[in-house]
Order: sequence, then C-alpha cells, then structure tokens
Amino acid sequence: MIEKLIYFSPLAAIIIGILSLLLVNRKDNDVRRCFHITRISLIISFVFSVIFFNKSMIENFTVGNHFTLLSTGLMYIGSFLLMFFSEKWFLSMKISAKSFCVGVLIAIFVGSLMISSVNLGLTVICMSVALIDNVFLLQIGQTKKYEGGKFYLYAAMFCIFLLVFATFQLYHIDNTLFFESLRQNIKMYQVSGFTFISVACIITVLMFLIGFSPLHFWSTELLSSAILPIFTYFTLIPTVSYFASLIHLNIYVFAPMLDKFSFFYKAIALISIGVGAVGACSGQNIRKMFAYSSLFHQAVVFLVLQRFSLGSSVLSMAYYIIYLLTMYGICACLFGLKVKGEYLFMVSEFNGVSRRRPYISAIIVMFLFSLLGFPPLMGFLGTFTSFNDLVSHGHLWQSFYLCLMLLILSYAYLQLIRAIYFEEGKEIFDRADRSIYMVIFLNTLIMILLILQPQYLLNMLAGILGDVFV
Amino acid sequence: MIEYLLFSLLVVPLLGCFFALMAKKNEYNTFNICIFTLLSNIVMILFLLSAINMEQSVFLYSFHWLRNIKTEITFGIDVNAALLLLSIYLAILISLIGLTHNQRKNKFEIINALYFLWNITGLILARDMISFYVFFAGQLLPVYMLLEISGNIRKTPMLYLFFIFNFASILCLMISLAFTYKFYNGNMLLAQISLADMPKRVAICIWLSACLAFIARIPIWPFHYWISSISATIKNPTAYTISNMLPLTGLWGFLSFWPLRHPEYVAKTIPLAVIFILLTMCFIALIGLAHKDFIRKLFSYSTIYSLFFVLSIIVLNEKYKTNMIYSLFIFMIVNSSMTTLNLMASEEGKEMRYNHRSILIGMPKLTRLLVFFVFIAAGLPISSMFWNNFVLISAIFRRSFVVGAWCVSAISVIGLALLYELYLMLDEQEALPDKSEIADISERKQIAFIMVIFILFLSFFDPLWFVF
Repeated sequence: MIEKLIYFSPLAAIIIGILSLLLVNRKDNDVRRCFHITRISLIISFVFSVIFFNKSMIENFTVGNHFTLLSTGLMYIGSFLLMFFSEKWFLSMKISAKSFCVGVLIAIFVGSLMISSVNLGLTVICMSVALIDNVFLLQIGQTKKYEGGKFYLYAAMFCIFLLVFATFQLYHIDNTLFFESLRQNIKMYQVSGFTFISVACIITVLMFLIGFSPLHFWSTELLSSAILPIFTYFTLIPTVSYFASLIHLNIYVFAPMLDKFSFFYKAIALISIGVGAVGACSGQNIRKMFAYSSLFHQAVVFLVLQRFSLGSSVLSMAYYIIYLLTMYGICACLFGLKVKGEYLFMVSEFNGVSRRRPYISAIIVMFLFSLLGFPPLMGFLGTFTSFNDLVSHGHLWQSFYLCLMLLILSYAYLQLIRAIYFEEGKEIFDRADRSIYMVIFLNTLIMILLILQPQYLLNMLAGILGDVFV
Repeated sequence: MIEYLLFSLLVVPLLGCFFALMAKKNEYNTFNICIFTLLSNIVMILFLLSAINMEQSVFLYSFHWLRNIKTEITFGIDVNAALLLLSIYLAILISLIGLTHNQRKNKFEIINALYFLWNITGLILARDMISFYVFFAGQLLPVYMLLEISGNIRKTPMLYLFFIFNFASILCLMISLAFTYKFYNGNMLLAQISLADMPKRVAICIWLSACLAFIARIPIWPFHYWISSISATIKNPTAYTISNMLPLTGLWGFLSFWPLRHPEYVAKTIPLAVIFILLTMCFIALIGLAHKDFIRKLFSYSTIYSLFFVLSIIVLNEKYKTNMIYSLFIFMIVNSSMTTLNLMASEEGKEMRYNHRSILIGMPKLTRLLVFFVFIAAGLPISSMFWNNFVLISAIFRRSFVVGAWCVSAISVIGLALLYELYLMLDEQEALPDKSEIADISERKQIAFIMVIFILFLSFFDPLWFVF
C-alpha cells in the first residue's frame, strides 16, 4: 500500500499544489506566492517522476517506461520555463496568477496521466479534462467580452460527447477499455462500422487538441489574442502529451486499423502544412504567425510519424524535440522584449529591435532560420531527416510539397527579420531580465552541442522509442 | 601538419566571426579582425599550395556526424581548390580596401562578411555531399543580410524574391542529397557522384535538382533581374564582391558535380543547356551594353564570365579544368578591383555632386588603376586571363564553331561595353571646372592596388609563381 502511495507521489504533489493554490487569497498580492507554490509542486512532482519513471502511478491503468519519462520530462521543462517567464509577466501586469497556476498544474496532471495511460477510459477522461482546462486557460487575461472562448467551449463539449460515444462503443465490444484487450478486439471486429467510427472520433478529438487543420481555428485564432503566458503554454506544454497519447493509441490500440487511417493522416498532415505555411504569411500579429508556424512544424512531425514505425517515430520525435527547443528560445526572446511594460504583439513593433537589443535579435533570427532548416543550425537536422525519410519511402510529391510550403513559410519569417534588422524603430525597449539571457544562452548551448553530435539525440530516441515498439 | 592547417583554414573565419561579435561597436576592431583573418588564411593557403601534392587531393578528416544514417563528413583540398580559395580571399581583401571610414566601423556588415567567408571556405573544402550542402545553404543568410543593409531599401520585394529563389535552390540540393541517401545508403563523396553509374530515373532526379540548385546561383535568364537590380544598388565594395561570389558557388557546384562520364540521357541534355547558356550570355551582354551605369555593366561582365566558365565545364573535358581555374583566379581579382575602384570613385563623385559621366576627371591615380583593370577585363593580352581564356575558347571552337562564335561575341560585347563606359567616365566635356576639389585615391590604397597589379603581372609568366 505504501509502495503504491509512493509511486503516486508525482501526481500527489500536483494535487497538493492545486489545493494549496486554491487556499491563496486572491485579494492579496498573490503572484509570487502562487508561482512559488506551483514551482515547488512541479519540482517535487518532476523529481518523483524521474525516480519512479518505470513504476505505474496508478496500478494497471498506467505504465512507466523511457518514452513516458521523455514526454513527461519535456512537459516539465516547458512548464518550468513557462513559470519562470510568466511570473514576470503577471508581476508587471498586476493580474492574479491563481487561475493560471491552477490551470497549468491541472494540465500537467492530466498530461502526465495521458502520457502513461494504458486504459482508454483514463485517456478519455484526461482528454476531457484537458479540453475543459483549455477553455479555462484561454479566458485568463481577456478583458473584453470573449466570444472565441465561448466558441471553443461549444467545440470542447462536442468533443467530449464524441469521446464518450466512442468509449462506450469500444467498451461494448468486450466490456474492457485496456489497450491490450482493445487492440485484440479491434483486430477481430475491425470490420464493424461502429468500431471504425469510434476510433475516428477519438482521433478527431486528438487532432482538435493538437490543432491540426481543418480543426485549427482555436489554436491559431484564439492564441493570436491570448496573453503571452497562455500563448507560451499552448505552444510548449500540452502538445507533448497529445503527441505521446497519439503515438500510444496508434501503436497499442489502433494498430490493426492503421492502414485504413493512413490516407486520413496524410491528408490532415498535408493540409495542415499548407494552412500553417500560408496562414503564417497572412497577418502582422506575431502570436498568430507563430501559432500558424507551429501548426506547420507539428504537421511535418505528423507527416513523418503517420506510419507509426520505429524509424519514423524516431525521426519525427527528433524533429519535434528540435522544434520545441527552438520554440523555447523564441518564447524566451518574446518575454525579453517589451516597451513600457507592454509585450510586443505586432510585427511592426519589432522595428529596429536589433539596434536596442542586438543579442536577442540575433538569437531570434538564428532560431527562425533554424526553423526553416538552414544549416548549420539545429533545425537542419530535423528538416534533413524528414526529407530523407520522405524520399526514402518514395513520397516524392510530399517532399516537393514540403519544399514549396517551406518557401512560403520563409516569407513570413523574412517579414519579421526585416522588421528586426532593417526597419527604423523609435521604441525604447525596457531592460531585459538577465535570467532571460541566461535561458537563451543555455538553450543555444544545448542546440550547438546537439548539432555537433546529433547522434546522441537520435540514438537516445531510438532506444527510448524501442520501449514503445517492444 | 597539412590536416591541422586545413582544419585551421576552416576554423579561423568562424573564430574571427566570434571575436568580431565580441568587439566594441563603432570602432575599427571588427575591421582589423577581418583583415587579420583574411591575411592569416592567405598565408595558410600559400603554405598549403606549396605543401600539397600537385596531383592528389589531401583529405583532412572524416567523422561520423550521424551514426544512424551513415554520414561521414570529409574535407579536403587540391591545387584548384586552394587557388580558388586564394582568389576569394584576395578579392575580399581588395574590396575591404575600398571601404569608407563609416563602413569600416559597421560591425554587423563585417560579421556577415566573415560568416560568409567561413561558409565559402567550407564549400570549397567540402568533399562530400552533406558538408557541401551545409556550406552551400549557409551562405544565403549572410548574403541576404548584407544585401539588406547595403542595398536600396526600396528593393524589398526583389530581396524577398531573391531570398525565396535562393532558398528554393537550397531545397533542390536537399532533394538531390536525399536521393543519394536513398540509393547509395548514405553520404557520398563528390568525386564518387561525378563518376557514379546511376539508374536513369535516379540520375535524372539527382542531376536535375543539383543543376537547378547551381544554376539558380548564377543569375541566369529569366531570373537575372532580381539579383542584378539588387546588386546595382549596393554601395559597399565588400557587400558587392560577396554578392558577386554567389555565382561562383554555383560554378564550383558544377565543377564538383558534373558527371565525368556522360551517360546517354545526360548527353542529350547538353545541347539544350549550351543553347540556354549562350542565349543568356548574349542577352546579358546586350543588357550590359544598353545600361548607362558602370556597376550594372560590371554585374553583366561577371555574369557572362560565370556562364562562360559553366559552358567550359559542360562542353570541355577535365584537362581544361586547370586553365579555367587560372582564368578564374585572375577574373576574381580583376572583378573585385574594378568594383572597388568604381565604388570609390562613385562615393567621391557623390560627395562632390559630380556627374557620373566625367567622374574620373580629377582622379588621375584612380583612373590609371581602373584603366588597367578594365583593359584586362575587356580581354586585352596583358594578363594570364587572356591566355587561359584563349585556350578555353579555342577548345570550344574545336568542339563547335557556332558555340565558340556566340561565346566570343558575348565576351566581346561586354568588353566593349566596359571600354565605352570607361571612355564616358573620362569624358571631359561634362566635367565640372573645379577639379581640384575632388580627392584622388590615397597613397596607401594606391600602393595596395599596385601590389595587386604586381600579383597579376607575375601570374602572367607563371600562374603559380607564389608556390615554392
């Protein structure tokens, strides 16, 4: 019994953190206290997650392996950075951080469970909670009447309905929701139309959560008006657990039906790549641009991943990790740039940043070129391995299409580079925190080390994902 | 020893870039770092030229970049590569002479120049596809930045097109790289690619995408307009020289990749490529003749010569490669000198509100230097470029009289265009009366250019006179 309680400690730490946050008085100056509680809770949870990474947090319902450790680790690193940057944001804006911290802790809690779940019921509950949590988080910091949030709420309710419907249908096959049994059942009853529809419903909800086209409206439109901490949260944290869940479900449960969904997956990935690239060029809003750009890069990850073989998973995860590292850096830079306490929102506000903040500007440009896959930057490894994978599997037209979309995406990045370096700006930027420079430096250092010895990343991923494919 | 030298050759520009990044703003530190980097690498190249075996390449080192998908990166050097590298360093060094005091203090520009230098050094030293690709693609960032800083702000749409067009060429090369990975299970040496017998479809994909990548670097019709209209607005000699080196990277790509054995399907495409190149040469020569701006004429001149060298690679065989490199060596130096002198004259003329048509009146020292370089560029037999071009053109004539005739026509037209422009710049009729106000080239700069002339003079007798 004590043993089980100890293994539950990563989740228990988060629950205690949430309860403690609920006790904080909103009227007080709560920002530092909220972030302090959240950080302690996250650190304890992370330490226990690492120590007991191969133990089941909830017996029979979850598993622990290297892949769950990697995914959880990425999620925690993202959340540490988010907490680090967001505290300054909330302090300067003088807004209560209680809701934000609770929302993030809930997301980490359900994310951890989603990553390690081996029961569809648990996965579906986590997905439903994540959907509601997203509604809750998207409303933070919104001063005007917020129509977009209402729209997302309706969509979330519909998604929950789909999830419940799909779970009941799959449960009725053999009265079980455990992955292994479900896989056997699907293998036997895959001809059933209801089984197919149920699986399609779950996949659709996952696509909605990740924000793939044509269900991308919330991720791009809502994030364009979201506050910077929320934008950073949605860019860095939840997608890790959604991708991990997608990999688990497709390998452990839906594997017998993969050939039927192959076309659907490819179509979604290709449409998302197109929408991401074109959408990024469509406006002046910097968050919208990065939201579309994220859609593009996540779709590239999915395009490579959709075969769900060990090789494709390794390459796609490599691309994903590189993308995450780059986005950590970009988000850090965005937190480092503000004028009279206001964080930059439009591309035109970046005019002349290079004259005032030369190092941050150089790093942004480096990260943007990295996202385009320019050598010798880290993004080159991701782009190169993705192209290599597409060509080696005979998907020539997909690689040409990817080339074309990268060209279109480059136009969006060029606009930002141009504003940073070649436009005249009159703004006087606030002094950036030294800690932001430190984060950027560390991030850059990791990327330099990885580009010099990328085999460590690929070998590590091959070993980690080997656990999933056993 | 040679291996360490080669490694240093690659690392020094990057270190220079790093030190320049750390240097203080608005001071000459970055400029001095750049000069030091160039000089140290020139010394190393001279030492390498003397040390390496004339026949065989020297391979520096190979290391596995990616163990999972066979990637062995190899660098090496031979006489041709060393000579080309030397000409690049000399060309940039010459262009640095022409920088104004404000331009010398521009830290950002010099950092970009050093970063470009690192990339082009890597490109010339690369002996495998991956490292070639890495340095080929890496050049776009500094060139784009330099063009944005030094070019005309109104040319923004052109710059976007330039970037996207060059990025497309990079992606073309990546597809070629992915094909070699698929069919040859890993990274290939460039020497192996040019000798490999490939299945027809694979070869078409690899050659087509690689050729598209290289041809995009040479401002060929109908894409010549973007780069020429941007380059014509550059007022910084170093930026101009560097932007003019992009065609050289395409040329080096052709030199490295072009198959030594022509299979039937490649042989079929050669006449088409030749026609395309000749038409572009003539078209650009006529454009050069029509333009009233010396810098545009210079751009046409460099484009035509780049195309001429590509033509030589396609039409002629391996044994003419040495002549081509010797000619290229002089061409780079002459082109950079002409550009620098012209931009120096234009800068002085602009300050004095002097008419371009008579800009050289009152600058006798600069005029003498410019006349010498224009004469070399026009094809007069006063440098070894004439003799090497003579060998190449006569070989082309031997292959096909028509191709040779078109080629000579284009080269002659652009030579005449340069001479005519020089005449106009010396035309006294439109000159202002107060010639004394115009400052001529300084003594130090004059000495530097006389040294360049000395190099050219010695190269007339022995192209490798500096090799002991």
